[in-house]
Amino acid sequence: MHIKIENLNKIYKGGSYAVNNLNLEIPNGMFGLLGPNGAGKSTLMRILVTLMKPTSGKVYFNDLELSKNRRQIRSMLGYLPQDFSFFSKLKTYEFLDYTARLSGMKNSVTRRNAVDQMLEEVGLFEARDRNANKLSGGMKRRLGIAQALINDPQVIIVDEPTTGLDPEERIRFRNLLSTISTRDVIIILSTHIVGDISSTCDKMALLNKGKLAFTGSPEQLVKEAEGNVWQIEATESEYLEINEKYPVISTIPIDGGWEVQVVSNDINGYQGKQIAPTLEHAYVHFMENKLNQWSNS
Amino acid sequence: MLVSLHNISSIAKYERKTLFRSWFFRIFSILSLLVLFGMNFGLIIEGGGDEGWAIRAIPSAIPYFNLLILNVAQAVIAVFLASDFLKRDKKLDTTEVIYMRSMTNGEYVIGKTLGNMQVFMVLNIAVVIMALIFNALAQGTSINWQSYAVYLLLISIPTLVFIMGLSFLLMSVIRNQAITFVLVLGYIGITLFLLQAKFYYIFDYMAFNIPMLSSDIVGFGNLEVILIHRGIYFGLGVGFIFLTIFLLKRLPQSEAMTWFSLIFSIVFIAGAGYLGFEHIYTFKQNEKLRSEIISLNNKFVSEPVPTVLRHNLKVEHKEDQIHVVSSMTILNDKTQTLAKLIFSLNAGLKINTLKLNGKEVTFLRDKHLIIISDQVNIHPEDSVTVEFTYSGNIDETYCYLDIDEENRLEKHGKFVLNVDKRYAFITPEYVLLTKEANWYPKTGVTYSDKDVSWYHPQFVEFSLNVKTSEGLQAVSQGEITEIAPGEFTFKNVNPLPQLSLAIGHYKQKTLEQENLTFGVWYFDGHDYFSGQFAESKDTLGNIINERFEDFKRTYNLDYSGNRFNFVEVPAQFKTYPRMWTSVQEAVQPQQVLIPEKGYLMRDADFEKQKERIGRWGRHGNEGEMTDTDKEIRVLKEFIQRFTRENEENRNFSRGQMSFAQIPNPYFIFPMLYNFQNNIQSDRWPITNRVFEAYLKEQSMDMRSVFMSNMNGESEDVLANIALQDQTFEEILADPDQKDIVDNVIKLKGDVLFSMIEWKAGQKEFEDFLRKTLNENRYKNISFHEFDQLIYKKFGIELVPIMDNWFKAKTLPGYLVSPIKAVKVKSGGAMKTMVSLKITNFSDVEGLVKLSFRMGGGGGPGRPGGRGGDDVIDNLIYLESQQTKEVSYLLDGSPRMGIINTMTSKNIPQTMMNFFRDVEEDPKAKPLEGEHVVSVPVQLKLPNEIVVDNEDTEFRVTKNENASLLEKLIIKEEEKTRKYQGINWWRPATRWTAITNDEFYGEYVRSGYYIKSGEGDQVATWNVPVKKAGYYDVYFHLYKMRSHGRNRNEEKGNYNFTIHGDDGPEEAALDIQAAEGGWNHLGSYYFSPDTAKIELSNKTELRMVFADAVKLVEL
Repeated sequence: MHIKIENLNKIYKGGSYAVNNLNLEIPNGMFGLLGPNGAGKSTLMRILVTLMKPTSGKVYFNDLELSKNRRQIRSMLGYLPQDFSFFSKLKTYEFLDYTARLSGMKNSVTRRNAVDQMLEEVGLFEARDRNANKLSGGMKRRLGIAQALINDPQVIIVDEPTTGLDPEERIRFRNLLSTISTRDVIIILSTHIVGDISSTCDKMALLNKGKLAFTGSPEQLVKEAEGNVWQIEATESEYLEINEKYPVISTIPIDGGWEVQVVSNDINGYQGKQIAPTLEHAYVHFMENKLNQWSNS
Repeated sequence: MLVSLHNISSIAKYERKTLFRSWFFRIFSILSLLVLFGMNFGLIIEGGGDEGWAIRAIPSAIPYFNLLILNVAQAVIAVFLASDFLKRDKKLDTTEVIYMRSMTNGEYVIGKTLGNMQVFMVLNIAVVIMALIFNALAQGTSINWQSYAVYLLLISIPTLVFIMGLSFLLMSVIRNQAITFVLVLGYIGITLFLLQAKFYYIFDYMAFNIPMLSSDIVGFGNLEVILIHRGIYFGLGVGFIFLTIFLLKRLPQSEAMTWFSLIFSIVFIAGAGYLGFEHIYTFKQNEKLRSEIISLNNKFVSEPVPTVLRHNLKVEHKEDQIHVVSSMTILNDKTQTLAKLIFSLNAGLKINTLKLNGKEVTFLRDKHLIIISDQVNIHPEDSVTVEFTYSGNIDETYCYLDIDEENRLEKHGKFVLNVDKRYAFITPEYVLLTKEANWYPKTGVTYSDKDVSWYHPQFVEFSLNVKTSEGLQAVSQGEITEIAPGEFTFKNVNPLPQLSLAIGHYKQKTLEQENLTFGVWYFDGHDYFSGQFAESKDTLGNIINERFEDFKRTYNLDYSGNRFNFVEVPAQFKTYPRMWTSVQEAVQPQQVLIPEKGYLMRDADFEKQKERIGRWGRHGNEGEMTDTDKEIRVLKEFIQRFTRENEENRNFSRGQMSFAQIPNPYFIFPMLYNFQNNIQSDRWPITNRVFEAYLKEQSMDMRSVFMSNMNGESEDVLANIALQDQTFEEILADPDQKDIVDNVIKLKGDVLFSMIEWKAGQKEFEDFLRKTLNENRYKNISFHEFDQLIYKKFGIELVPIMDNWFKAKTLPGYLVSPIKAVKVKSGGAMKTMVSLKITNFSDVEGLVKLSFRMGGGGGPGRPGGRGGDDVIDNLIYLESQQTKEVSYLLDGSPRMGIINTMTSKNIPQTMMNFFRDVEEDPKAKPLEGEHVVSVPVQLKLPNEIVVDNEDTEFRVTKNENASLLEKLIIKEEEKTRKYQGINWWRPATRWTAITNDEFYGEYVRSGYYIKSGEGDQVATWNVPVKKAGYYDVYFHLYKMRSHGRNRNEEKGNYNFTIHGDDGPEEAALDIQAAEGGWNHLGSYYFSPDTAKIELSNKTELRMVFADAVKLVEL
């Protein structure tokens, strides 16, 4: 499975670009889509799941062009939208059965088994007879995940899936996705939580203001940030200065001041040392330094 | 596969589940079921009056009314649910996970629609099952299984599809549920309450108005119209749904399907448009054709017409056609030679051959007319034979040409049941043909609006032979002989003015009496009545005979036939009152045609009527009634249905109960008169109706007099008001006056015959008239002959009287003094002497009829004229400006006196006077007779000043606090009537003019009334005082006649403000203590131009009546 995005644009009324000349290839496996709020992640995903029409550009699922092959492409998709909480008056298993039917499962026995199994997997089997709109936030999310995964879609697109989940649930969800990603599927995971990506994705893209800022593996992103992350022991007054000058990632109080981690290529005389970047550092480095430089130049 | 049924059914399934769980739907459904349960229980099990019988009498009425009522409720729910679906989809993010699934937009919308439909079908089927259960429980009502399915298909489905399509579409376009909801609900409200049946039911998407009752005998009478009409809405609904698919805000899966849905929507909407056009066009086209027919008749109406002497008809009934050989002998009874013959025959019947004296002749056929001028040369007094062979069906467009479209489209039926109107039937299993269908040729043209002489009843010797399918029974006038299976002959001894034919699965039950056989021709399986008279079955014949004898005695007319049959006909059969005759098609010679079990007559609901009478008996003092008693009472009430001239049409609208008197179509008077006699006048074609009215007057119906009190104005009063500005001739020609034309004829007849009676003597004239009628039975009497006879007998010349009577505009106007009644001894016996004085102030002579109703017992409201009450009529003739004092000596005690000025400037034209506790006056001299006096009647003395509400010095405040709607309604009413009726249930909130003979007034006895209030509404009398001084102030109080025991128990004051020289002073009149008439309010000092008396609406009473004030100089 392979998705190719060519020169994709989405311009909203008033001329603002939600997606700006995007070119991207998404191979098999887990694909992370990272970017700040408003970067165009949700728009891109809505275009991919045929809910929205791009202004221009093309998207290919294998060889199938999206706008001309909605029937086939829709039947490949599983989708979990960002907000997923309002249901009509259906029970948990009914909702799942409904989506299972629409995903093309016609045989009722197979479907019933698949639904039960999926409910089991997301831990909602006990709640199968409860009204979906009466479930807790986390349970609703899990039901959302279940409906996205039902009938083994070839492309799974999940938008901010872990918001509202407690840490335990988040881990379980990641593991679930990881298991699935070993099959011949694409999982596109949009998030602004860096941790979700670092632990699961082989490939990722960084979106900013509708443009592709980076694409590659998370390791590559981290690599680019090497030499740009500093740990400074600062006094109270220095801390205030540093805070003004550099993007601060973490601040830990120490005796007589603060231990501050900043992203910068240089720290201009402050007492500090370079440290190995994490994905989070790399993300900040990218957003703050690289992209700002671009926009300044 | 273009469409995935799997997807559609999946969407439908979960849409259905969701809707079933919606509280809105649940509550509404349960409410609908409860309401319908209640209605079914009330109407079917309990009985429930007129409506109950209409529903139980015709099996299909049960599903029909249930689904109609449900349909209104479900239309509302459907709007909510349907508009909810798009709203739901818009708001819920969960929709996105549905939208991105692989399905077409069409599958999605169709699935949603089906889900909605299924939910409603479940509700519909629940209602249908409930109706079926009630149907099964209803005694004497069979189950029409088919109708349950048919009504579901015809009522519910098109309505639901349409309302859903409309809501979907509006939601897709407006995208705001609240606005959509308001718009669609508004639309529902407008169609239900405002547009209703207007524009040929085109807006009636709920089928609430379009006639759809399916008869037990002929099924739907207008299936094509129904299918087209329902097709319009089904088509529109489907079109809207496809348009919704096209407009759905979801990226389409298949471009082709999107465009297909647009094409489909256009096709369906255009199809619906075409059907709508067709629907309207048919009506319009019929209307056009009708006016062409009338023009054609107008063209030939003045051609001389020969008289038919004999007419033999051989009818063969096959499938939906009749094949007829008609041979008649016609006589040229005119003075000129006839070179042209004109016949009418319904245009649906095609002529195959036409023979004159056995020789085939050519003829011209234009619509219904047949014009023969080939070899026609008929000398006066010559007769020829004409033979037609023709076949076909009846085109009902040709029937009732005189009845305008509004009338023909008026609701027919009871309650929510709408029944279409049919005038003739020829179907394989059933035939009904009456004169109106013009199913056999008649000489001359049919209805002409130019010349009434088209109407020329002829008494014809008919003979009839009918051949139909085996197992069917033919019913017509005369003696029936079944000569072979399915072949019948009918022989009549006497000539008949018309012939009717019914063929169907008829069965007959008869009761033989001495000279007369009473029978009922009912449809097989419709004998619901025999069992109801189990106890009294041996006496039924006698009772019916007695009643019939009473009826003949009442009118002093005879019935010469030897059979009298009730014939059951399909529910759709409808007749109308006509201008030129009171005979409606429901009454045929020897027959009364009763639509299906008499479903519109409560009196035909024998079972429930017995229960009702039983209950009444228990409540009253009559004790427990035996079954026989009940049966006889029920039978007598049923018979009354045929012996009353008018029926009351109760109308409940805008909180006002109004009673209109409409002619009773089943009134069997024509059997005594019209089918035996006819007085024909070419110059005054209305003559026969006037004679008819006169003969009917023999039974003066007290109902109308009391109705006038109940209801403000009876039609008689309206007729007299109309005569104030128009002559009789003008009213007859004025289509706006058609509602009261009967009453005008009656009043004018009264004037004419009173004049004749006054000149000839009442008894003498009556005897003469009856003798003349008897001697001229079964033939036309020309007015000329009659005029000569009356001149020979009494020396009266009718022609000058008639001319004046038609054309004169000036009416007499009378003032009458109060009636005095005392008991006096005369010739050793105690008698009641009644005396009064009356002046004719007008420039024309006039007659006043003074009737005394004798017998002290009984109360007002008891319908009179059935032999129980003795009525003594007296005529007082008054020349212009003449005053007479009249005095009568009566044996026994008169209950009341009615002064009837017939047509006059007096409004109302009748004045009633009740005699209560008449005391002996030992000093009074017994006097009888009339004498002219010089002093006219004075209503006021020289020292009195009276201001009446009709005077310019009287004023009322206008209530501006009425709502816009109320204003619109009031405006409409003001246009139609100067005087309103009193609304007992919801009195008027503005001063409203009413008439009643107990009001003060010179000619016009009227007053104003208003609902009690806060004193914001005031009636003012500005009294033109000429001389300063002290005056006694009187108020003329109108007290409603007691209609019940407690009417006059109301307590409260009328509050007056009297403006004299000492400034305004309050005065109150205690109404409970006061008597009707002049009441003293006090003495005040007035100067010229200061006297003003005000009456406010502030009172504890329900309403206030403002009439007149009087100032008496001291």
